[in-house]
Amino acid sequence: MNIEKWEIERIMQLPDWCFGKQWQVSVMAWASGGVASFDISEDAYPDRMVLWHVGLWCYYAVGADQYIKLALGHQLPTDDAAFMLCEPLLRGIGRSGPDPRRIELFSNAPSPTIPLRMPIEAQGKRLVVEAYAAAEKYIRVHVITVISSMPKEVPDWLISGQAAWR
Amino acid sequence: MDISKWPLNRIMQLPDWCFGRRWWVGTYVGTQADVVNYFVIEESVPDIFVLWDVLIAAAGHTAGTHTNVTFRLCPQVPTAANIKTFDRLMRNMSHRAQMYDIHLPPVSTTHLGPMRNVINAGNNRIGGAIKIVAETANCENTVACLISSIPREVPDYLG
Repeated sequence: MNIEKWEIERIMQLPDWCFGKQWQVSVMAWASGGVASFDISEDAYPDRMVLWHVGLWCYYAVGADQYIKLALGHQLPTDDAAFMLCEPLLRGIGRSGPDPRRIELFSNAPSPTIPLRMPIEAQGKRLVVEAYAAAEKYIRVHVITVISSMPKEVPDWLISGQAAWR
Repeated sequence: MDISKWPLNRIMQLPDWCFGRRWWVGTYVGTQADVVNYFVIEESVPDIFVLWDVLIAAAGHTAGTHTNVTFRLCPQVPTAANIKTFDRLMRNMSHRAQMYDIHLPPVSTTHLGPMRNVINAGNNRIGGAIKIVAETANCENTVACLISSIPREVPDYLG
């Protein structure tokens, strides 16, 4: 059955496996000396996608004053002002206050992947990261996102009501 | 129902349990400190398979070090001269100019999954390289991939 015209909320109620292949898109950045650095993923996201997991690995972090921000963008930003024009990837998990995108990094512990099920209208944008470490510090960060595209077809039996007993 | 002629995208929309048995293929990498250690996983993999998870267990590293890893599809143990000629196991993990896909903190047991990635291995196996950067003592590590084959038959009602 063609479901291209379904509302996004209805598509997101389908079982996980209807979304098919899941693959990674990632970025890496290293920052030091109080200067922000940037990276952009090599491949673009699908126009409409689901974000299933975010993994974040940081090393050389000590104490405070190092952070990352994540966004969707078409080009590699050259400074923070350009980065802040990009659409945020995640909302509501950064620091409260004037810079809400900021995700502070306090230790080198490897992060488990953060499970999500988040539909995103990426429109061909890429994953963009800004990394920052204060003057006396140095961090390297690897961010992995696991994504899938949106299904356009599902088996008829899934919708016909027979799925309940299968 | 025979689904061997279905396009891969349709097969990947089947429920997880249709993919049947999953198994680990992996290898121990007794790395020498601060040098590139090349490896290949001895067990062969199906021509096309589903990659469900990747495990990197790095042990014995000291503070101030980090772990760089790359996974490649290759017929034998890669070398410094040829490793960049082999396709990455997972695309989009790194820039083409960089040899390594994965950059991790010291002393980590890391899962890159769960995922549901389709890998076309051809006649290759899974190999790659691992380096514990700035480490002074030799370390012991394990790399492994959780895989399944692609189903060729499913119950008729899934069609």
